[in-house]
Amino acid sequence: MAEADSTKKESSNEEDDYMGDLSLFLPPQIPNPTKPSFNKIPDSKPITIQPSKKKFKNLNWQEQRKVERERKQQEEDEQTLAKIEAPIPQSNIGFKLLKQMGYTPGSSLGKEGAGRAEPLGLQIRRSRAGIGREDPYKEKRKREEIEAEMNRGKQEALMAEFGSRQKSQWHSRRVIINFNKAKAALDQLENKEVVVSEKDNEEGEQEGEEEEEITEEDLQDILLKLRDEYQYCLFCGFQYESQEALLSDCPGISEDDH
Amino acid sequence: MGTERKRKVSLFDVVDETSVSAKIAKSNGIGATMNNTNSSINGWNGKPYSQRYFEILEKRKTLPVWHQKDEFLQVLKANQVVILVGETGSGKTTQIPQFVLEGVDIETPDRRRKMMVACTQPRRVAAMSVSRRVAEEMDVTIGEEVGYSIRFEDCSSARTVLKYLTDGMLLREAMTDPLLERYKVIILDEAHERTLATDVLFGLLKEVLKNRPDLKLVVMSATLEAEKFQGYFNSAPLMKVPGRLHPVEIFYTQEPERDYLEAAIRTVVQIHLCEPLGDILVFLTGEEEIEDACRKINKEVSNLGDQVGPVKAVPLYSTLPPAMQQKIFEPAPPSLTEGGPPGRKIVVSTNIAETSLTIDGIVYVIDPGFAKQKVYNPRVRVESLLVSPISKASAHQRSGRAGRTQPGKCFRLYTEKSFHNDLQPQTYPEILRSNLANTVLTLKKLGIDDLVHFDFMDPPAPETLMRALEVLNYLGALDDEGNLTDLGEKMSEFPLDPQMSKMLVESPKYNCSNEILSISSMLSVKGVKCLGCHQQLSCLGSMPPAGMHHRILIPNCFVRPREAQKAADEAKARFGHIDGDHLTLLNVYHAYKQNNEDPTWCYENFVNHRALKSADNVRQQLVRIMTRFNLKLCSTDFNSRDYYVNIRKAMLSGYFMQVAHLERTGHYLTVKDNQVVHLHPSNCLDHKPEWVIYNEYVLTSRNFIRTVTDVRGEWLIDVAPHYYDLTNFPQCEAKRVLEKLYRKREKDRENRK
Repeated sequence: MAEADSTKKESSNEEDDYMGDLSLFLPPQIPNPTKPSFNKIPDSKPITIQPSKKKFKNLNWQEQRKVERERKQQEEDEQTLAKIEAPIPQSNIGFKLLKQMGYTPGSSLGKEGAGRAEPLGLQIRRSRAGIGREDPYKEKRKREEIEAEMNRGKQEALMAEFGSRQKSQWHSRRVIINFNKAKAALDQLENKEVVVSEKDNEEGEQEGEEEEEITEEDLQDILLKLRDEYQYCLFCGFQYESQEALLSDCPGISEDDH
Repeated sequence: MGTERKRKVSLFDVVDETSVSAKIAKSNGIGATMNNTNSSINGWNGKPYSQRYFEILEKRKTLPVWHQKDEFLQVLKANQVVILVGETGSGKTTQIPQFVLEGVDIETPDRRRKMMVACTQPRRVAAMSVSRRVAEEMDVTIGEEVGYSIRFEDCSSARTVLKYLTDGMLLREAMTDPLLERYKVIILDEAHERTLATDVLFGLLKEVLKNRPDLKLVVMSATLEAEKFQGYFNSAPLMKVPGRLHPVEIFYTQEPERDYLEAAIRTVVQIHLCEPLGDILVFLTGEEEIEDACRKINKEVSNLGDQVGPVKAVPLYSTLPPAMQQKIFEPAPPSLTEGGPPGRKIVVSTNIAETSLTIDGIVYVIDPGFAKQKVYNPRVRVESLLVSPISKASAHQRSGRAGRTQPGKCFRLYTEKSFHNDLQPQTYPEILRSNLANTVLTLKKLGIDDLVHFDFMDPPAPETLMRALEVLNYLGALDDEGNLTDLGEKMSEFPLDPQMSKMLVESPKYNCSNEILSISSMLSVKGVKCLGCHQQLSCLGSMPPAGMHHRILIPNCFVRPREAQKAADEAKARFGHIDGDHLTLLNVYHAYKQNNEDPTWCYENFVNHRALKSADNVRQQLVRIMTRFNLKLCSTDFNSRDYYVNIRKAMLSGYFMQVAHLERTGHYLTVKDNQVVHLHPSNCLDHKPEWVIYNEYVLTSRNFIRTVTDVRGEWLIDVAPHYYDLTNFPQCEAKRVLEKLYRKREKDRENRK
């Protein structure tokens, strides 16, 4: 028995792990697949309301009324809490009378002025959650907030990732383009006369390999070579007279500088 | 502190007392006849001591406080203020005042009259019962040498030397005797409870002590705030008296509980199954919860079968009828079969059982850590009565309940971390949680004009005082400079909320003072459901806050037993007046009088006889005050159309600030504060009036206004034009309605011309 139990447990554990692993490969929580994914960020509200509405339909009228009552109570509690935020205005006769007795607005009472500055606040608990645990309603709201925050964070991260991926793709494409341009320019400058067709063919053959190999450093190397040996800046598209002219007139080595 | 140093007093060591009194007799000279060396004659009344006196004396000498009698008297002799700290069961409340009588010279030059010793109590019931006990111990008749004085009842005489009185009564006495010159020693008992009146007395007595070097003050408290008291009273000496407590083992939960009620029931069952014999005390927050828990406990245990001993879960809360409350003293049920597992009694209680009631046989305490607490908020003028976490001090008090008869266990349904982090050290004193309108009026009457720098132990929030000053100003008790007016002087003489006193003072102008007197007394009884609450009339009754004094309650004048709710509601409906609850109360009072105050009639009509009797008593006291001020007692002809109109207008003259307006949305908004409120379901109106006055605005499960009566908009601008001055009114529907009323008024006036 015990063995069987333990094996069961193990297998279930395995299963759990397996599922756990699988979940890593699942797309990150898209609750409603038909929903357009990125544009509607503040979507958390409709999501949370949906299940409660569904529940609502399944409840009998008594429970429905109870849910409704609780909702009203929550609304009212929030209103009450908001109301007690506003202090008694200075125009109030009570304020004036206390001031006449020597009260300085903003201070506290007592012989040494050590009293409370504010009246005791209200703490409304509407559940039987034990001490150290928040009201489930409050907790739920907090959880929702955290979830929404996380979702937003996730989406932002995704957006950022998406952006950066696009950017890097674009960047590497630029690198290749520029490298090719630079190479052509270098060839031109080196040979003056270029056997274009030949080169092109060669390049065409090598393209596949080169595309992967060409990195920013390669580009950097070739740009530097152009600048050092020919006072040529690819992005200015201009061969300077001297190194000094290049340094003073060209805004910089990279494309971004231009 | 001193017990180790003291020699042990044998049970029969009578010498101790007589030697002390002999010593005093010698030093007094005068007292020689009083403290007769012949100890069989009672020095107080010259009668021989009864047998019972000696019996009680033996028991008294076993009380922990007796071991420190000499030490206490020495400290008292050398100091003006003494702080005495002792747990429940030390005997301080009954013994210390008697020690003081023995040790302090209370003679005056006028040999016919002696000075008095006062001992204050936060609760009326305690003042009565303790004074009776002490009279017995001293072998004198209650009301003679030992007496008591509570609101609406004075049981003392010219012979009285020791008077137990509520702290509120001592405050009232100070209004006519500012230096409290009748007293030689004042003992403030249960000071740790920090009632409103005790806190005001602290500040007041500090002043009085400066002006009266011969006056002595003893502050008695449970251990909790002793150092704070010491700091406040300029490092007065502190004496400690050990209590009679057995060790209590405390258990915490590992994780916070999801549902404290479920957890409490689960714990009860666990204790019942696993722990040795002993009764259980469970602390919960209110009537419904307690009844619910009792049902569930009985059910769950009976589901366990007969292998388990039987249990009897008994509820305890303040609105429970006294006969039902007695059930907590019944023994645990016997085992079902001979030799079977023994039964257990389980008391499920509000914090009544925290300090004011001792139940023998409790070994296990279950403390979920909650209690209902009353907090007044001056910003929206709401009194909330909500479930809140208790304080560490309360938790300590609760656990102590397990160690009254033998070592016990306390199960706290929260983590140890929560105990340290989530519970505040002390329950907020009442002065921080109360509407102070009445207190400010009292302070003004006492001649304290600088409320800003008054030496409160815990100064209230400025806004609470602002609200109080505002109310008193609108009522006309204070002028615009903050000085007490003649009206204010009169109002302060009534031991009632200022709104109610104003209504009473104004009532002859509306030709209905008799009716207003009846309504006021009925409201007082209804509001002062708690006998302990002498200061604050608007206390809410049903669930007393932690560590506070509203514990023993006079039930509402309407009785609604669980088993006959429908019949009770029908009976109540027969008294109902469609225009409002105030008028319904008046009907009840009239019917009670017409039926010759017959208890049987009360019983048949689901009316609480005790409540009505005390209302009648309150009425007599109020009539006395009215006559003292030459306020006419009058009534409008009952057949006149104005009979009820006059009454309602008179009520408005005091309660014009407690008005709500019905909005088109169907909600009521309180005037000026625009707070959404609901008519309390107990109201007896048959319609939703456009304007209502209410007796109280409370936040419980919702924002409720309770005890409401229909009034007319025109009356508002007639009776209280200064409050309904629209230049000082927030934009709202009510304002627009009032604007129309003012315009109509103008037009009528022009037409008349």
